[in-house]
Amino acid sequence: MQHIFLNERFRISTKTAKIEVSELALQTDAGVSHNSESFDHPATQTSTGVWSGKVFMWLFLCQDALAFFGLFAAYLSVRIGAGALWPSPGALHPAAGIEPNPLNINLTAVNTFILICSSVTMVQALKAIKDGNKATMLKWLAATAIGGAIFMGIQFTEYNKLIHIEHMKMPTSLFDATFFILTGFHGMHVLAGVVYLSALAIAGGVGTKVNRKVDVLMVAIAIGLAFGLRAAILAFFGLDALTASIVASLYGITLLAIFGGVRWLLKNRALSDLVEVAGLYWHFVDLVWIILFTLVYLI
Amino acid sequence: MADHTEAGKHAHPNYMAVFIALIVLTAIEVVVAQVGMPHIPMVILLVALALIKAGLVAQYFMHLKYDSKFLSIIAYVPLIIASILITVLSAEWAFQPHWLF
Repeated sequence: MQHIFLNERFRISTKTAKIEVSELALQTDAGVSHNSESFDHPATQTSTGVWSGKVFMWLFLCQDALAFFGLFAAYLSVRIGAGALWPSPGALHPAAGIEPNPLNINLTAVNTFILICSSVTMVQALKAIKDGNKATMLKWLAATAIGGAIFMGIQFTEYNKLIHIEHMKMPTSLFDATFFILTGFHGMHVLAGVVYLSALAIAGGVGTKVNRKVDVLMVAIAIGLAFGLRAAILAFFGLDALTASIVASLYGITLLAIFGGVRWLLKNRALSDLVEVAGLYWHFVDLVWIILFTLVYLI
Repeated sequence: MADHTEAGKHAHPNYMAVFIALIVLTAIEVVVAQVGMPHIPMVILLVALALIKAGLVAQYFMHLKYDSKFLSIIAYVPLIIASILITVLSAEWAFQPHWLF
């Protein structure tokens, strides 16, 4: 017994020594002292000086922004091409024969306000974890996810009214199609963000004791949301079953990738790094909404 | 990188000021959209306000102002090029009215 105990202590002390040596080597290599952001783990050095996870999140956001740009370009071409035939939101007296614009600016302004608030709670979460306060961070993270959920709730109410009372239909009108595709694509980003933040809060809260039950729960959520999305596309938008299935399965795979990423990174990185990267995604969703709100609802 | 290290991990930007600026700009946008200005000046004003808001979010909430310049290059260069393309294409569409119908 005594022997094993000694052996164990020896092993631990050599491991610590190894980490110290590697950190020393890093410092002399880089010529600068590494900032102590990832305090739980030994530092890694990259050629860019920025943690690769953050670089890749930025690359992802950039390509995602370009996807939105493509949709904006399509929308603007239809919009400008239609000229005075397009029901502009501000126009009190639309051209003869054109239905008035059915979008509610004030309701959406409230939604914009909620999304901006959730961005602020997100930066508060990052601030808390950087100051080493995990419990406060979890509260702010939960507040952010709830803000996103409220946003989606309001958008759902809006869709419900537009589809069932205003009779907007994606396959028959360019106005309806561009509206639903732009806001829907963004709405799916919000949903993914809420799931991302929740996964981070659950896994981060449970910490290194993340177990099978959490994994099963997360996979079940991904599959459930994919089926829910398929049902929603079929019920709301009148698209065919194949399109709905393809969109829903791609979305489910994306959610699984988010879960896997969070789960795997938690083993290798400090929680503050993960919160920072999740924050980048969430602010991006807010940023896109700011542009979208102006282009679709206001002008 | 040097910027980031100097800022230190306890120095946070003034998030509340940015938040208030975003809310005020949103309120201005909503008012401008509904007072019945001539359409073209209104569109230019609203898009400008939206870009200012987006810039505030990117610079302060997403920390581009405090991070490595490398990240700013990744973020801005493709978007600026894409914006030029959209602007030029929009101008083209604007001078070919009703080509869809």
